[in-house]
Amino acid sequence: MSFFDAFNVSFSSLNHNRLRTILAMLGIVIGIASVILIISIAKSATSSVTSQVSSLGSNNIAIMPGTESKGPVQGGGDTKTLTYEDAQFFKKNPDFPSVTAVAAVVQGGMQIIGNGENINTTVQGVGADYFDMQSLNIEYGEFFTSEDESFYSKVAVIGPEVVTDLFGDGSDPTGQIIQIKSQLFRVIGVTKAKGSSGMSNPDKSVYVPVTTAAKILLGQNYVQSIQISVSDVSLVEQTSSEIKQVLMERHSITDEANIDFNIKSSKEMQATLSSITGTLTAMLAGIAGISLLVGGIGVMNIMLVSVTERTREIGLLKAIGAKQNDILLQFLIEAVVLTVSGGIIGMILGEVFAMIATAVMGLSFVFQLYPVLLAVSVCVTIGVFFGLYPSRRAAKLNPIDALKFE
Amino acid sequence: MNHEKPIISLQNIKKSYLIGDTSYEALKGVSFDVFEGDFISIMGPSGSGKSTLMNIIGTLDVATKGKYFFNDLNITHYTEDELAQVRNEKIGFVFQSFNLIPRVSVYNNIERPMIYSNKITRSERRERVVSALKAVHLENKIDNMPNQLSGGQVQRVAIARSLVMNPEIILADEPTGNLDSKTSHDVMQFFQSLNQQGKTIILITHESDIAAYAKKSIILKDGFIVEEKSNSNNLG
Repeated sequence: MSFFDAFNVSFSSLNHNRLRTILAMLGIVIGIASVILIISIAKSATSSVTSQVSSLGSNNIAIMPGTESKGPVQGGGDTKTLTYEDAQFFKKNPDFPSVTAVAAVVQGGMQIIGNGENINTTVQGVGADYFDMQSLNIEYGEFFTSEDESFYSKVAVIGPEVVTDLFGDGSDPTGQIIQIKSQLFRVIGVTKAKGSSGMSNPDKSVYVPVTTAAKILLGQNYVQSIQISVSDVSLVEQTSSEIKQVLMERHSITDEANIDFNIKSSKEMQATLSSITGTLTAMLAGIAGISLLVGGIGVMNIMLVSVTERTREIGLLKAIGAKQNDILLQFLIEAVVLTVSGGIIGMILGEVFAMIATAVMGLSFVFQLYPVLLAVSVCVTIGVFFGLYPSRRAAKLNPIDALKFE
Repeated sequence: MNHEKPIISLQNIKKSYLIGDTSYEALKGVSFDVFEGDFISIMGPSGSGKSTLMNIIGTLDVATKGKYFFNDLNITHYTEDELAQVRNEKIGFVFQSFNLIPRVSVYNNIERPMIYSNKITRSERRERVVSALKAVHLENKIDNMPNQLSGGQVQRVAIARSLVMNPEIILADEPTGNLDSKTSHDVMQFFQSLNQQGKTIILITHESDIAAYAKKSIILKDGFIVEEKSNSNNLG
């Protein structure tokens, strides 16, 4: 029997039991769709997060309060061990010639009023070096300076989306006054649009000097992180350990076990992040994979029912000259057609859902070929694996018994 | 009766089954030849071994002892797939319960044996189906589904299927068992006309009026041939 004929014969029987075929396929559809959905979302999220991290540059160091185990995501805001003075200590310090820029960071969601409009957004208190370190560029006006930091100036640099919300699209709001937590700030600059990078959106941020933000807006004398730039990637490791020593002295810590901050280079953060997202993806894909397995067993079940139901027919086919392999091929193709068409539908659904989900989550959708290829080969494998036993059973039937089967 | 070489030659065929621990011998040494142009009916009460004999002639089953020659070839020890090829090319089956595949059309049912042959081109298949349907006078039913046909028509489609590979032998197992008596006689007359066109037919039946359509009858009892007779007055 030619492959084409075998395919035709198989297709006619699948087509005949349409409802059953669709139900058997459904398990595979759901399994493949969920695997594709999870992998796509995870990939999109990972690429957003890692691009955010790598946009910091590979020669940056972040110091965060709290212990190592807090992971790469900014340590708990409640941990109050890092101060603005810790940051200032490394600034233009002759003992740290490799340190080129230092910026302390605090942040909080606050209500902003300006031009009679009123929005809620993230206020970032940052050191003057922060703009450079984050590769933020100015559209209108200028960034604030170290002097503004020292004098607790009430000045603000705002993102373009904040401009749109408060003053209208494309207008130049420099010189205007905005109100943050009942304090009046003068807008001195607008950043160039940069786009969302997953977890935070610089275009929606309001930047004020870190000192002003900590003391006046948040009423705290600690900061949430300190960002440090090092002149060369090769000096990152050494500088990190020197910073660690000095900070331990400053915090009067002698035992490394009691350390109350953690230092991460952007490279390390990237590595940690991708290992975490990798593990998460694998775990979720594994769970989705179980539904694939269940789908496969469903296909096997249907195939076994189909073989039993068609026992007489198999007997007839043998009587009119079908060889064992003809029967085997016919049933195997049925199983594989079932799983592969289920897989293709699942893949399309998965990608569509992934597109919708990433759009809703504000991530950029990353189409990946490998899950698609993986899904197809998995479906063929499932079809062959779960189809083989029923097909062999059909092929091995004794023609006389099969013909007599009621 | 001609005395050329037989198409089928069975020599001392024995068949025993194990039922539990005891062996039951269904055929106890059956020998006969089938020549081209024969129309033989095999008769016998139930338990006489006629179904077993029919299965062995049809190569659906193999004998425990004895030899089976088909066109002088000893096929006694053929493998299952080799026997499948013999069935495909040399034997056309007609069953009591018709055994059409219910979910495919008349065309696809008749085409099926050719699919398993690998030797017939796609365009030739169509021609052969059409001419087989013409032979059974059902050419206008080519695209119908089996459930749209009457019992007699279904059996004629099954006969068309048995003819389509142009086999050397047609093996009909109680072909009229599920038909009313008028349709039965129509079908039997049809077999007779096929035989007059040169087809060799072996008919298994327990009804003597059906067996009477054949030129020759073999009567089985308890695993032996007890009588072979010519039906000089065969109906027609």
